[in-house]
Amino acid sequence: MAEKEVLMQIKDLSVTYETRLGPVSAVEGVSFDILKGEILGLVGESGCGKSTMGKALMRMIQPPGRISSGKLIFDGEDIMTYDENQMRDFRGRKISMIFQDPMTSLNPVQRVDEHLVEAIQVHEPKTKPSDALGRSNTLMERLGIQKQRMKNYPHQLSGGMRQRVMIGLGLVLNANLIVADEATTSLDVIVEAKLVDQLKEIRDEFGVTLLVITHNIALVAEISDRVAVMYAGHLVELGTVEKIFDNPLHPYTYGLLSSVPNIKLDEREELYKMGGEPPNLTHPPKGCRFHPRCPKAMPICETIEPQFQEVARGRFVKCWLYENHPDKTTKKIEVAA
Amino acid sequence: MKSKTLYMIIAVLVLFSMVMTACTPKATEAPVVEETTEAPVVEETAAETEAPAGVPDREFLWTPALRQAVAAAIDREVIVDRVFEGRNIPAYHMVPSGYPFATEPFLDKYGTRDLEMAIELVKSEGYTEDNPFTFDLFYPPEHYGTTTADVMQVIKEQLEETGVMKVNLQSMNWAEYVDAFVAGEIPFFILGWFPDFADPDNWLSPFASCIGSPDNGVFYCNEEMDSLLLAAASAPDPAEREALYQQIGELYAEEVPTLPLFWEPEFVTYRDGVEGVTIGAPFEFNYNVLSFAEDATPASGSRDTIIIGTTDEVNSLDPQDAYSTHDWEVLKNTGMALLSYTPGTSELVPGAAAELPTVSEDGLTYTYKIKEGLTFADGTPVTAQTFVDSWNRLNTLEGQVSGLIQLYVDSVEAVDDLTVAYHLKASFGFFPALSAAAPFIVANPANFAADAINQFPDKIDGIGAYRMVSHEVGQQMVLEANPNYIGEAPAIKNVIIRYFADPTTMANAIEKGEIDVAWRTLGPVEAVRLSSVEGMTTVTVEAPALRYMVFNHQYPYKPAE
Amino acid sequence: MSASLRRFIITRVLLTIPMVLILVTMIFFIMRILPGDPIRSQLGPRVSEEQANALRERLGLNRPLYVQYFDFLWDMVTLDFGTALTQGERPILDELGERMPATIELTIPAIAITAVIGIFSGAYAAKNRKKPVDYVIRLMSIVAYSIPVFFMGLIFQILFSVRLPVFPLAGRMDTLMMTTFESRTHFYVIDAILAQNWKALGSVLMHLVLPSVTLGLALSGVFVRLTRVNMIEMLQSDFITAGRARGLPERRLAYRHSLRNTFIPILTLLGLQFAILLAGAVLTETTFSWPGVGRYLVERIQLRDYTAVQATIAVFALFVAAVSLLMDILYAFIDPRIRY
Repeated sequence: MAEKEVLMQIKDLSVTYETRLGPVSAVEGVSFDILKGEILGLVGESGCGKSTMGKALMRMIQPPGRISSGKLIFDGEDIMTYDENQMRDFRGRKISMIFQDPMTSLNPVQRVDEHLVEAIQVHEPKTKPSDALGRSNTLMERLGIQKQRMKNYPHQLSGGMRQRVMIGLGLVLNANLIVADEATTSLDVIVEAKLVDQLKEIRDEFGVTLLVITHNIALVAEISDRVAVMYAGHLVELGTVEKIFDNPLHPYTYGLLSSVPNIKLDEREELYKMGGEPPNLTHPPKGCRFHPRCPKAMPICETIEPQFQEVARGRFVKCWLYENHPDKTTKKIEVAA
Repeated sequence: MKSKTLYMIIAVLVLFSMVMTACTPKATEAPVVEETTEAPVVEETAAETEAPAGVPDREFLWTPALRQAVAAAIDREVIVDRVFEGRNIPAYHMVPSGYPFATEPFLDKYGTRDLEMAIELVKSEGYTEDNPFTFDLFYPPEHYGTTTADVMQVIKEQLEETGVMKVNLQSMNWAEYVDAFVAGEIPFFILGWFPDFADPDNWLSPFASCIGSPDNGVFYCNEEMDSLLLAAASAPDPAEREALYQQIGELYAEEVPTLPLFWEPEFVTYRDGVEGVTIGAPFEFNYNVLSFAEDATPASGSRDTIIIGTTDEVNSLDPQDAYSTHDWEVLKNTGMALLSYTPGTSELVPGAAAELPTVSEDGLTYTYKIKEGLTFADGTPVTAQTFVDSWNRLNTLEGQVSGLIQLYVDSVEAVDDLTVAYHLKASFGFFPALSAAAPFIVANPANFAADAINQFPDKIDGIGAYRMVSHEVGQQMVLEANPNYIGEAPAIKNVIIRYFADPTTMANAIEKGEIDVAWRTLGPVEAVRLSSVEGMTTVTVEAPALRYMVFNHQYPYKPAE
Repeated sequence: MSASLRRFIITRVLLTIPMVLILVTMIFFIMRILPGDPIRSQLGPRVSEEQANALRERLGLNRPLYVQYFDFLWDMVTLDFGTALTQGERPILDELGERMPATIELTIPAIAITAVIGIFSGAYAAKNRKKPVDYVIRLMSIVAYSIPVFFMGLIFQILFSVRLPVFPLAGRMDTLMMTTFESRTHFYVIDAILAQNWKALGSVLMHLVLPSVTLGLALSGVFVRLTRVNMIEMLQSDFITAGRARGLPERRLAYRHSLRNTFIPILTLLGLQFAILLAGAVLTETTFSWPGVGRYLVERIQLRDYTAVQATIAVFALFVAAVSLLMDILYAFIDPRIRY
């Protein structure tokens, strides 16, 4: 595999929400890299912090939440040091986002072309309106929206078309990274399939890096180059898609993959259900946050939090099974490359 | 809710209200009142219980003794001090003290107050401390000002101080109130009175005569009083009238058909430099004697225009219809009645007439000579026939004021071009005063058609010092000096009357200098405030506005109260 | 205009007719159920019962109720409003023809002021939520709608007309100017422009300031709160987040995007407020001696003047219906979701 360049480095990112019940650590100590031109899938249950993660990358966390610590290094610069103006310029131009519900994510009283032209004019004020319009039209045509539909309002378009408008908004400023936050969740499978193809196309054609945040394992399997798994605010596993699906290291990942219903008709097995509930993040469990539900839990898991470590080339996992510690009685499991 | 259900409900509501109104009695039958009394249309089911021991059964609630007791128990000075800070004037007779032949019979008989007499009188009817004389006292909460409630409260206290009377105060809104007292439904209530013409008769007959009293809810009829009133009204000799009114006064205090309380003054404020503001007992405000001093700063910016503010509204400007104070004021400034008053006094002088009238032997005919060369502002000549025409208008068109004049005048004839004779129904000695009233102002046929009342003419080209040239209803009226006025031209050529919606705004206007004179109804609150403001003068006008209590003499007595 | 919009408008217009009919029927009967009779309440005890009856006869009040009702309906249809029953029997059409324009001329700038102050303060407060300026604006809005209108009017009158003689005290126009002013439509602004009488126009506009500011300010409180709440909600919505993700500046998101969307419920409220404004104009009309229809209606009700009240309310109802329809049409234009 050719060595890809690093586009963005997330170092030790933590996001905290100040609630009346106390601070909630929605994301804690997450570190990983996003490589240029890859499609990185970020999966996990609802509430695991993956959406927060996505927003944090663009520093879109609104009060009462905030990024409590960490660095976000994009193209060599730590965007945590950017002021508001720099961030505004950054958003949309360097990283853009596609949202879950395109109906509510588009301004109902604004036409399609107006959406795009506005984005251009805000970022590149010297652009002539006619040029901006031209650019928008061309782009949208490539995505499959004809010129006549550009004057429509969002409610006049189908779900799939609206999603494509969203994508267009992500691409119009030639962003380097597009974060797709549950972008296909509200679509039916056929439309979803089309969209998936489209996403792959734009990566191939435009060289855009994609971070696909989803709870849909099948989608991740379909589209991603690498997969990152989150649980309860922690990043628990990261690796290539083949390796993860072939050999999930973290017990949570294993459970997650087993939970996927098998579509084959003759093998009517019982659905595997993972025991227990995701933890309350105001008082997360001590030690490893997964330990209450983990079938492989050891005494040390209850007291000391494991590190997120590279256990083989390109394989990272946060689990005592793969780490040694004086308090641990058993030896760590070795992972093949 | 389904729309069908909604429509059903609305239809039911509508039907229901239709049924309700159809079942409610409408216009009451006019009680036919002649010289004898008749019971009013009041369906009250009298309880058939025994009268409590000591109180004899009787037909009517009010006996002379009880009425006298109320008259004795009231202390007007206290009312005036407590409620009006001494501004108002206690009234010891229905007739204003500034009038000819006025006396103070209530003061004579009861002093300012005689509590002992009151208690004695009530007890003489069989009431005791344990079984007090109980009755309702009605009043309208706003029509006479919000102080009415306070007045009622003081009266209640004063009456209950006797220990043998118990008063229940009842407030009722004006429209209902009028209906109720005219129908004879309430026993004891307050009213106000403003004269139609400056003569004692107008203060007595409407309340104490058999024919007049039902209209005011009094329902009083006494042969002696009636004959005295008639005699006094028709006596030609002033000395005779004086003696008769003295007698009437005494009888009035004895019988107490109504109980006079106090006089409410009016106020007028005028800016420094305005001269000639005089309003006398007949309550006339003459604009033609107004003038600006050398150093005056007129509100209009010009010395030949004066701006007068008022909160009154124009009701009708047709002389043979108009029946309210402001209307009469405008009419008297744009026209002249047969006689007028010297401004600021109650001295009768010729107006449209060339001289004071001559009276026939029997006192039934008053003949007036009309001034020569009298014309309307548009040049149309005025002759005796004009006066006859105006009388015909009044008599046939049934305006609001017709009834008043028809009480006294039988017919009018033009003896010759410049002489007109009025034939009266009885030898009313006050006819000259009556002939100074607005209905005797001739109407210009160009403004007022002979066959219809015109309450809002575009112009008035009358025979007065001014003519009305424009009228924006609710906003302002413009008067210009009448070039054909037979008298002396007014000092100020133009008068603009500006209509305000409330006295506070009007007071602000004069303070600011947007108007020169603030007249009715300034009200005591604003008057007191303005009297301490520099640059203007506030004057109290002794207005003949009376507040008095009415006894419903035919209110039935119900033992089980 | 699309077919569905056309159909919408026609349906609404047709529905207005039964609405007005039901309303005036109710008024017709309610007025007669109320105790008190127009003749007596105006004339008081001054006229004899016979005369009063004669007057009632003349005005047709002695006829059976259903006769009066059907007569009345017919008059409504033929737009014959008749004359007021009492106290100045002016033809009601004349009276309304002068007073309605006066009130409208007052309420239009009032509504504009309400809308502008209400919407922009509300939007500003929403955008700067929980900061001191938000609290100040909310406080001011409460003060605005708690202070009684007439009191506010009086204070403005004293401050800006008497103490600081900047604005005229009362009335629609300068006293002297009015003596030569010809009014055709009774909308003084229009008449002044038509006559090219610029001084008069100036006077009329100056006279409009205090009363319309009073009325507008008094009603703006509601708008501030409503706008603020709606804006806050709107600012949390997805498309705003999406916009932020595109790097759109906060100011733009608040005032262009949020506000435009918030405008839709606000417009509905504005239509409703118009009706309230007409009624609320009564107090302003009193303080500023404005010869409008609000005061007229109150006076006539107190006088139990059936014909005047019926006619006035009928006209009111038509007017409110018209404004409401207009708002709905505007609504359709602003919100493309309704249009297409």
